[in-house]
Amino acid sequence: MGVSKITKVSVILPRSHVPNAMEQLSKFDYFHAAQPDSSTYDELLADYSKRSFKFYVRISDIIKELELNLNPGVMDVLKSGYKDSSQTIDLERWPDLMNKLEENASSIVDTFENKLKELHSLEDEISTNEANLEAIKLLSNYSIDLDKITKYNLFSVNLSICNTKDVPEIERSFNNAIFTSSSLSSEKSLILVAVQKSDSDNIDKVLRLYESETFSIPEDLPQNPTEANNLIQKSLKEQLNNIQSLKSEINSLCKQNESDIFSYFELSKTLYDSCELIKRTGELKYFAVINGFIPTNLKSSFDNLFTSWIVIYEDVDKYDHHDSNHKDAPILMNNLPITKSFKSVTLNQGSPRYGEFDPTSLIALSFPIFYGMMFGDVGHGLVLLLFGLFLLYRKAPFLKSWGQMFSISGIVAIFFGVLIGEAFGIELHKVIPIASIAHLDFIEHPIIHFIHRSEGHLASIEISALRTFLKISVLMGIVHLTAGNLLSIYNTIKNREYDELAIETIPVFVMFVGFVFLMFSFIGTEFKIDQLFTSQREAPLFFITERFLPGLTTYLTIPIATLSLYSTAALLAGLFVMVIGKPILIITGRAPKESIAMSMLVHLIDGGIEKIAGSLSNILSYTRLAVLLTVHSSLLIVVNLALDLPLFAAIPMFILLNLIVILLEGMIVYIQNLRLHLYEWFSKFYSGSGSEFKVFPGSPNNSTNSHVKLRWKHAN
Amino acid sequence: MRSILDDVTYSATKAYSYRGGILDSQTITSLTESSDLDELVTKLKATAYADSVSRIDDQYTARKIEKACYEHVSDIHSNLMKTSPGGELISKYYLKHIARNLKVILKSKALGKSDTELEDYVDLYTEELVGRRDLLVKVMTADTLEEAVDSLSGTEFSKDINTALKIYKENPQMNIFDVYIDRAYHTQLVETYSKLNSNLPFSESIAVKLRPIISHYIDSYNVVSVLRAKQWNFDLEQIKEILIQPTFDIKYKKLLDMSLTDDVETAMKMLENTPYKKFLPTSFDNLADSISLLDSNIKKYEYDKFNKVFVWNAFTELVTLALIRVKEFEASNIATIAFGIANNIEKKTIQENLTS
Repeated sequence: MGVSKITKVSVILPRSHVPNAMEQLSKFDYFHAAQPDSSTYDELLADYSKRSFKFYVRISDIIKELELNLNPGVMDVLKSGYKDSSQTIDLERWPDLMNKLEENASSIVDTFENKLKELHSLEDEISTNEANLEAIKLLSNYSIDLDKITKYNLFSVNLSICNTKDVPEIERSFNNAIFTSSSLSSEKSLILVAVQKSDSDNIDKVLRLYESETFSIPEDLPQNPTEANNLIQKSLKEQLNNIQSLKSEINSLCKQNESDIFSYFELSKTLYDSCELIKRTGELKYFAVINGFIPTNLKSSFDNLFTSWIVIYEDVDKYDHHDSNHKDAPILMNNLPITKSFKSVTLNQGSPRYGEFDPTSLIALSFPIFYGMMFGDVGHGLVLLLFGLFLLYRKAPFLKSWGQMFSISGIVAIFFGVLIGEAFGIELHKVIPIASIAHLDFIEHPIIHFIHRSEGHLASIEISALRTFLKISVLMGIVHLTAGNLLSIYNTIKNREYDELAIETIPVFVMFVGFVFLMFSFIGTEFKIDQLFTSQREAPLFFITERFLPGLTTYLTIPIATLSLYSTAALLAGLFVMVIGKPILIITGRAPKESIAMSMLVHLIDGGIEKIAGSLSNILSYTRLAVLLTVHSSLLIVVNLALDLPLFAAIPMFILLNLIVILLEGMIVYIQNLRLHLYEWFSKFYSGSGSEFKVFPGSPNNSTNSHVKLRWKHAN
Repeated sequence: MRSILDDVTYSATKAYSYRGGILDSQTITSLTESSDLDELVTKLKATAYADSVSRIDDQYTARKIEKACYEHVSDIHSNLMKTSPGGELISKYYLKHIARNLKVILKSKALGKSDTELEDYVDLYTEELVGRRDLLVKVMTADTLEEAVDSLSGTEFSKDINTALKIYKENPQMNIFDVYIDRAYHTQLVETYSKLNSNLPFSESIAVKLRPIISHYIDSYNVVSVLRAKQWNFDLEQIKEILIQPTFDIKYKKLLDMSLTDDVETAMKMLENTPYKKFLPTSFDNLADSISLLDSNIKKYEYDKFNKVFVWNAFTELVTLALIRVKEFEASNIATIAFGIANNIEKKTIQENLTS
């Protein structure tokens, strides 16, 4: 769980063995290539890279032109399910990858390229013929004799077909010319230009630059416009039939070969990426060096695969920043299957730094709780759960984590729905068909009665319940932020940054704790600041236990004045250490020299404003948990007004409006939840500045390939 | 007509999305390692240049690749033109492409090159995007240099090119056309810039926001033009004629003082107490080389400065202008690579000649 320990490996092998090493790398589960920058490449890999890249580009062009979907869309998967269309390619040795590509893919790629070329040329012919046809029709209407217009003595007249959008520019290109145009289609126009005989050369020059074609009835056609018209129409009909049959031929070829196209596309990319990653094998003439990282626990299996060559291992200490490999070490996040689905939340900020705590497992706990609280409703929770399960049922790899996230969040939303006794904004006991369950005490009388209903009045939010939820939200915020601060201390200790621990991390935590308790005191005085250090009333530390488990903490009482005193002392002590800490380190030579006065000022501002005010705003930010629950319930109160309509309208309206609320709220709640984690929580302890472990392209664990799987004949 | 999306956030976001397509150093290195133009085009097909290079017919040449790359930049430029606040300025900046083509055409006409030879070098696609091919077509189809210049009457370039022709007849230096076409282009730029102003009270005008870039363009044009004019022995009046006002960080008086010096070296040394000190070459052995080196130093600085805009002036009006300029540098780098590969120039030498 967390971040895997990493070992740097360097494999030294004769250059002629490079293909064998590539094969072993493709068989190994986790290898992250890390070749140093160099302009010297292994010849074979550079050649393979070039050849495979050519295929990659050619196949990409075909995919683009045929508008094929390499990855199925979410809606398609939801509608018809996910089909695993991956092809297994059997390989004996690594060079077979290139051979398979060149032998098998070539014919398919050539076929498609030729067919598409044929299609384009046919489309061009059709476009020309259509324009010619329209031009002939137009000329027939105006009774223009093509022979006559070229035989004037004083004028030179040209009749051309050009692109419609070019007409204004062509017109402006002629000075002192008679110019007229007529649209043949949205794309093509017929233009007539007449100039003095002395300027006749100019017409050709200008029209050539606009790629216009002088119109004439083709020589192979009768020069009589009517006959030419008939013949062009006939040939156009044939061409349209041809293009239709060519399109259907391409379509059926597409259906037959779609999975081949995709698998060769991925194969070419895999081969190209593999070569690009490894081709900088060093400057030695006869030996190649392959560098990379593997998880330390896989050292023995790596050893088995690379036993024929010299392998140097260097374990990278997670917490030793002086280790030269530490900053380059990639991060392999190693989470349990259930928590893995929340990895995407962590990765929004970036991979953890090597040696940094991976918060995914904690997010797997807090994320659904926050989501469920803001989305609290049994009915909506159930819809979310079922939708999550449906995504899992569809078995699309890219929807799996979403399915798990929705399912878990749905369960928590049901829990909060039970807590407030609501389902689709209706009292829970009224929608449960089984009487024995509906009459359970906590169902009939919800633990927190959130919505107040009375006959003849619009339902409303119960203010006392809202207060309770606001308190719960703040408490959750305090717990969450405390965990964040403690993780910061944990990271600092683990990374042996003891100076930072003493002058910043611990003081910040002490200030946070002091601030939180001072806030409790302030609330206890009912926001009267003058009573903060005099009031002997009991500080409201345990409002939750008092509300739900009365009597549990009666022996743990403390007067407000005492609590205020201690918490203020903690706050000031933390600030004091922060302000003087850095100067002490500068004086003792443990920190680089800088102005002591400036350092104190900076820390005073940082500690006094940023940290203290930041604590307040961070904690208050969590009130959105209660606020969004209120918004959700309020929207459902409005939605339920639809039930007063006649039944035929009420049911569809009720369903539709509920769906809108689920979609709208579901998204807002997700965004707010992300904000709480990324901004309020991560800022306390998480840098996310690590680089992700990228599995070798041909590896069995490479999840980017969904259309091709490599099967090696020899295990070793 | 300006678009409803004429909004800085929209245009800057669009510019950032184009920035995502800018080639990283690894890709540029990989391009320089291509064994022939065919491989270069294959590699370019996997980048943002895919559509442009796909339009090239099979017979690849360095010139065609260069044209395709500039077409890609023009595509982006014309897209951004429609949606950027200060779009008038970006539209005027587009004149740069027309100016580039005009320089080629007029110089070819002066050298008596045929129309067919010209066609390979002139990029009509760029003008097609803004519907202004007619201007270039008229110049291209003119029979003589004089007719070509005449055909420009009524355009923003007319006055300056007529002056250039007059001087060229007395002193047949090809670069005179460059100087005067640049003058016409920069004049348009500065005039449009002067008209930009915010309509909102208490808000910084677009002109103020765009100043860092425009001032750089105008000042560097003025400085390089004075030096070139001195190299060609222009008199004071002629130099005054090519200078553009208002000046920005290099004042008009300083430019006149430079013009009054005895030689180019002294004029260049007068820049030592100006922000242009950092661009001065270390040696002045060859005057032409010194001016080119100064010009090249200015361009390198421009490249760095404009790349920093994405970080230090994020989501401001400057971003679109910076993006266009950075893309121009990128296209120029690819053109250099294509030229190098076509002429079997060593990979290392190509890499040394790239702006980075």
